[in-house]
Amino acid sequence: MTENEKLFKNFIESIEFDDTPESGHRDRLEDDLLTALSKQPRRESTMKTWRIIMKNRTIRFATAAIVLIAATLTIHHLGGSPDGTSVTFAQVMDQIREFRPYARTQTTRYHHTDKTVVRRFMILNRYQRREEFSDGMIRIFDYSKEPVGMLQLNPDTKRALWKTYPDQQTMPINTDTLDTLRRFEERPDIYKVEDRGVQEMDGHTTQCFQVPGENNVYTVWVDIETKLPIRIELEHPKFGQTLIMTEFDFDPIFDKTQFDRIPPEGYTLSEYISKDGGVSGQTSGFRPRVYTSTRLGTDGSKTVCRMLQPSIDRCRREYDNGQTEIYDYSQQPAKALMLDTKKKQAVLETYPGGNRKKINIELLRIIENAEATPELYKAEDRGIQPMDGHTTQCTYIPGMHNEILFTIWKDVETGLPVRIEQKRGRTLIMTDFEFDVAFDPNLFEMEAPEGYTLTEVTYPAKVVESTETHLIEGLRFLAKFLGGVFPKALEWPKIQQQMRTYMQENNVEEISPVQLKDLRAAIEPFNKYVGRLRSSPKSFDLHYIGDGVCLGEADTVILWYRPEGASSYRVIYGDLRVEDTAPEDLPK
Amino acid sequence: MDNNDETADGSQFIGRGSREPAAFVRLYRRHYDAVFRYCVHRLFERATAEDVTSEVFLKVVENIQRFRGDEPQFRNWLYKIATNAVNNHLRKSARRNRLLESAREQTNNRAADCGESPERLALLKEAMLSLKPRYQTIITLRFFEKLKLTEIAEVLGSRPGTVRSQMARALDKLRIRITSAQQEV
Repeated sequence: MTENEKLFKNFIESIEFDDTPESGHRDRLEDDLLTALSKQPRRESTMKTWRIIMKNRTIRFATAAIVLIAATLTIHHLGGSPDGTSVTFAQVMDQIREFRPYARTQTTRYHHTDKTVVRRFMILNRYQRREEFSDGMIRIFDYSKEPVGMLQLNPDTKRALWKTYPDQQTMPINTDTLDTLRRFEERPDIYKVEDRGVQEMDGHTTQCFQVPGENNVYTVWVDIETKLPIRIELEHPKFGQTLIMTEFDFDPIFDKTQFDRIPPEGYTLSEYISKDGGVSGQTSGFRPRVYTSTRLGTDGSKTVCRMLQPSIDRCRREYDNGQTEIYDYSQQPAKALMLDTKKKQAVLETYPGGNRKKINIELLRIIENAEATPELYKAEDRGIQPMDGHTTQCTYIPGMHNEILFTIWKDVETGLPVRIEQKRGRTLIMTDFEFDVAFDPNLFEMEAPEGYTLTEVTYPAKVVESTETHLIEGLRFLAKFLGGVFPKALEWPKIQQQMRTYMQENNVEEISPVQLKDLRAAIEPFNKYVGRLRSSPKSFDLHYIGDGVCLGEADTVILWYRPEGASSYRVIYGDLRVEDTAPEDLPK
Repeated sequence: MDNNDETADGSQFIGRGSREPAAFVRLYRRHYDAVFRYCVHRLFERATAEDVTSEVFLKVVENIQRFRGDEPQFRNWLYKIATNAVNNHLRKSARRNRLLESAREQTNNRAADCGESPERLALLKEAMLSLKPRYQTIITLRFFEKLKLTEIAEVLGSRPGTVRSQMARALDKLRIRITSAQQEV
């Protein structure tokens, strides 16, 4: 195996995939396949039947009659009508099979908040579109030439933002609902278009079609005269959304300047390049800063810390309990100095292995991204608000999957944050921001001040490939830590909880620097190996029954799993010996 | 694919699969998990992977009468169909773009206190989707589905030597992409 292969193998082994097949889909598909299988023609026998029919005159006439009846029934069933008062789905498709410019109004209702967002889509061609929101904001997407990007216009503030995507090339972007309708026609084996009959809708006589899918339901109302969509509803419970598309206007005469990537006169333009930018880009863009971070725990605890950050890879954290932490990841090996100002104790931690690069979260980059692409982050404008003596613009950024949950107050004059809050269980509040601070380099010295007792701890290099030995040593460490008893479960949050409880019950007030190092060194590869076993439960068939078992109980099984490709299981006992065991000999 | 729970030779079901529903179901159940996993490892989306898995087996229903071969060849044939179905799906550039965009979004958000594994998954997703579909296929078959180079070559209708060199190029690209992204962590 080459070095690259090893690296990649290790990388993917550290990832938990949601790749366990779901029995519901498997069973539904099985039903569908059996139905499809029963409809499969058998060429030989079909030909034989046809020959028999054609040879016999009586059968020939009877067959013709049956074919005619079947054809009539099919037309009726699919919504077609010989007198032309109804519409077939194919006729609708004739109207939209080829791309045509159009506009529509789209109302999106989010089920979890019951909020609606209304916007007007204007589709010029496959590469350009304009979206007008009900609050006046406009977005113009232009992927017709490079650099591709999106111009956001705010008519109230006369501000324009041109966001470009240097990594992307020109490409069609307007493949949307109508394309989905086209797909319904292309794949009748997957999508079953159901005719819901003639209905009055928005002042039109319409034919209604419904396409139930596995995750959503499309309902399309088509004007009987024009055979064009009047209304489309998409119920998407999985995403918690209902989309309602109305006010369709096909082949409108668009003013091409409405799709211009240059903002109208009077707008202040700023540019944003959507790119991760690499380490150098981030480092060079990092503004030295100071702020206060207050953490309010769900248990009522409060921790206040002053954060001093001269660069992305160095910082000093001064806690209100007298602890100070200084991190320097700018050179190898990375180092951290922990100072207890009350006890005059210092711990210097060294991390060889080169895996520690960045210590400071690049908050501004997250905010910048969110503001440039509010739809992606579901950013909400909370208006102008007074905050800590400033006039601020408040924005709430929950993130696409509620993963960020930031509220930001930015000074309207400087555009810099005045306050940032994040409520996710505990509350994090960042205040008293100062930017472009000229720091005293002595604040980041990795040397213990005079009069301090120094303990030096060197962490082992990060384990690249975790093995069964790491699993065993992790279990040994945990059992020793927990007073000789194996943990109740293998999941790290549960283990942490058990460790906390154990420390409280046994009046263990703190973990020494060396213990902490040993804990981290044992747990990191342990978690990695457990994660790998748990990532594919069916393959590894992992079972843990160590709760309550004492370290050294040689007759008691605590864990078993099946290594990849093996027919026998690895069974681990309370004395941490491992035996290969046939499936029939496993504990019941 | 799943061959640990069945000791009988699956080849006997292949010939009967097009005629006997019970034989087809046996085959389907033996191979569903592997096809689904391959799709999800390529597409990184469960729902889409399920859709594509459905497409794959519908294709199997349509064509199984014409298939001639034993079970290992049947497995490779499934991977071939799945590869085409996944590539077709990704070829729709808007979809590919959406996948990339969501990967990029997840990568951008990694500073927001998320765990290591989701962050790495987002990195992997972005890096994999940036590769050519053929490279994606090789990497997925080799590292996730654990196929030998000769088996991958059969799926792709290529020579093992070619697959080896393409795999090396793909790994080079992945290493560069992942390493540069990791440096930002």
